[in-house]
Amino acid sequence: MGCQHLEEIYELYLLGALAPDDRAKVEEHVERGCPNCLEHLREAALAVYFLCFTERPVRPRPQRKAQLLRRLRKK
Amino acid sequence: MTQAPTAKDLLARVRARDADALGELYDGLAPGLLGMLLRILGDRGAAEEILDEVFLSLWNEAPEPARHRASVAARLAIRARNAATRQARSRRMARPPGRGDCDSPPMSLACLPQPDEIAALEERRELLKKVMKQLPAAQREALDLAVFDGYTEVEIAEKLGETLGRTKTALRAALRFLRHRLRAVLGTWAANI
Repeated sequence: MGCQHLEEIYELYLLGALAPDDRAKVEEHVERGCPNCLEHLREAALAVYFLCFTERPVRPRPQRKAQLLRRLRKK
Repeated sequence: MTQAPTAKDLLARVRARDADALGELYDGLAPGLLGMLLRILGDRGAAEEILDEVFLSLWNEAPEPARHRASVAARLAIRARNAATRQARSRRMARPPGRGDCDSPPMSLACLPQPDEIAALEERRELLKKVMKQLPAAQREALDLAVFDGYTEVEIAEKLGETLGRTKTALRAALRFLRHRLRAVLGTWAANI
């Protein structure tokens, strides 16, 4: 079965917003490596990325970064 | 004049266990990520915890060879968003965070945007933000519930007191609008997508 009917739902799939039956339809295509679905999913991921960053940036407290770098230098 | 290092250069240094390089990636990406995380969680402590986790996960996976060209910004944004919405969902349902059937699916790196696509989008972000203001308020509200609250279509319908059919129509219309504007603004209409 083609995947034209999935074009409207790739972003919702990536957001985890689909009902299980619609989600399964996308997964069936993805699992068999459908190149059209993978290409559309990459485009959908760009849309999701855009939506994630529509909020005003907030600078973390400086000590937060220092703590993080100390943690990973200990690893 | 010395050029600022690219994300690709910084990632290569992170792979070589250079903590300062991770710090430079943090300086560039953390404010955008924290803005999103605060919107989702509304709690600075919880948002900063997830911020730390995504940078630690980047550090921990860094030694692996690069098999892909996925943008690090996209990778971290989607990872942070999914972790935060999972936590927001578990708070709503009063249960510990865990993987449930409404979770966002694991993202294959092959599906993530590439650095040049992210750079093109970032150049036009302000224009796209203006364009998104044209979305009808009801569509925007439904979309925000999906993006920032991790609601499913069924939950959005319940929350807004709408039928599931009308909610699906609103969400699909909003995303069609965004998809078409992205293609127009990024010049990908002619591409085979």
